[in-house]
Amino acid sequence: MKFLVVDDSPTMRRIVKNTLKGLGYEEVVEAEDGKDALTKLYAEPVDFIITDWNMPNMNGLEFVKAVKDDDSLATLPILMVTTRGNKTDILEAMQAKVSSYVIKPFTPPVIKEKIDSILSSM
Amino acid sequence: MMKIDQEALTNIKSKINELQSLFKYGERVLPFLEDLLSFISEITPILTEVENSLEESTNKHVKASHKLEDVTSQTEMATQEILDKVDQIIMKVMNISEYFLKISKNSEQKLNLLKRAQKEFINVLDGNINETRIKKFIKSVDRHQLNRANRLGNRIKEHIEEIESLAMSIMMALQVQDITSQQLASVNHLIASIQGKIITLLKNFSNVGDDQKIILDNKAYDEDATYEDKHSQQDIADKIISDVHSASQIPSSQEEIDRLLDSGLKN
Repeated sequence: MKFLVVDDSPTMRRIVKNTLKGLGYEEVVEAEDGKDALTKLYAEPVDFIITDWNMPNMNGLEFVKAVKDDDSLATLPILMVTTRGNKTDILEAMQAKVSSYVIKPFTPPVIKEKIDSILSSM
Repeated sequence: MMKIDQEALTNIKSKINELQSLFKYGERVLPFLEDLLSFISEITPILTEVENSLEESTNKHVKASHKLEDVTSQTEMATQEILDKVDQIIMKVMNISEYFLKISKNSEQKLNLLKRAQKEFINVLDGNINETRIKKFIKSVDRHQLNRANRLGNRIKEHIEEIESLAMSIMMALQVQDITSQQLASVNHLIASIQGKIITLLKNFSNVGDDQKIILDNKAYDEDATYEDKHSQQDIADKIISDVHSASQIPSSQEEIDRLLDSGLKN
């Protein structure tokens, strides 16, 4: 299973990538913002997206909407991993059709639980 | 006819002269006063703007200061967490070193045992059978001692797994870098907006600041990003998502989000 990890922080990308590796997912493509992620999505197919919200150029929410608006990508599961923890943000992310929502700082069990739950519901 | 007091007349004349001088002075000073009033009326809005800007800047300074305190305290918290894990790793590595020493000693004992067994075996092959010595040797073999290396090996394996888990926790604690960089970006934004206000104010008085531009980096940030209270925040998020799913009310518009926030989800 190939993951696309979208975050403007190289540290966070590395942490998410290592977490995925610890969970047995070795294939990871990285992108530094929504715009970069869309380019990479069109260049190579992935099975799962993990994205941050606050990013320059194209933020995570705009990116999720762009993915969901594209018929060829719309079915991709998206896990949003962000520092934004207020109810309005969570509801807005749900409105944009994210599959699940994790608040930073996260722990590997939380990421595992969300990925497992998303995959089992597919 | 009333007799005019010469002295009083002189007095009156002097007072009239004084009044005349006063009016003449007034005539001269009046344009200045008009200018002064006009200046005051012109400067009053600027002074009000200065007052408002100073008040706003002061508030932003306080906010920036609090955010910097947050960065310090949250960095401290993460650093302590990391140091605790590093201490535990050091302890476990020391234990592993001890176990290796014990395993090495145990291997030496096993080698000696093997040498003695080899000697006894050669004796038997040579027909030099001494049952008492052989029985003594067999009794001296400590099975518990023989299994010691296995037990130590298992402990080392456990320690290595724990070290792996501690290393993972350290990596997780390093998420503080992302969080504090967002807090610092927020402080940077506040400082830039204060600088912008000051330049705008200075432009009211002179050309100072004409060539100064505020350059804000395009770093996106969440000004409420925090390293603290991670578990309860995730629990709240999970509950919101679960409530929305169970009620089949995934919002499809901002109005629906607002309605959900105003309803049960608000609490």
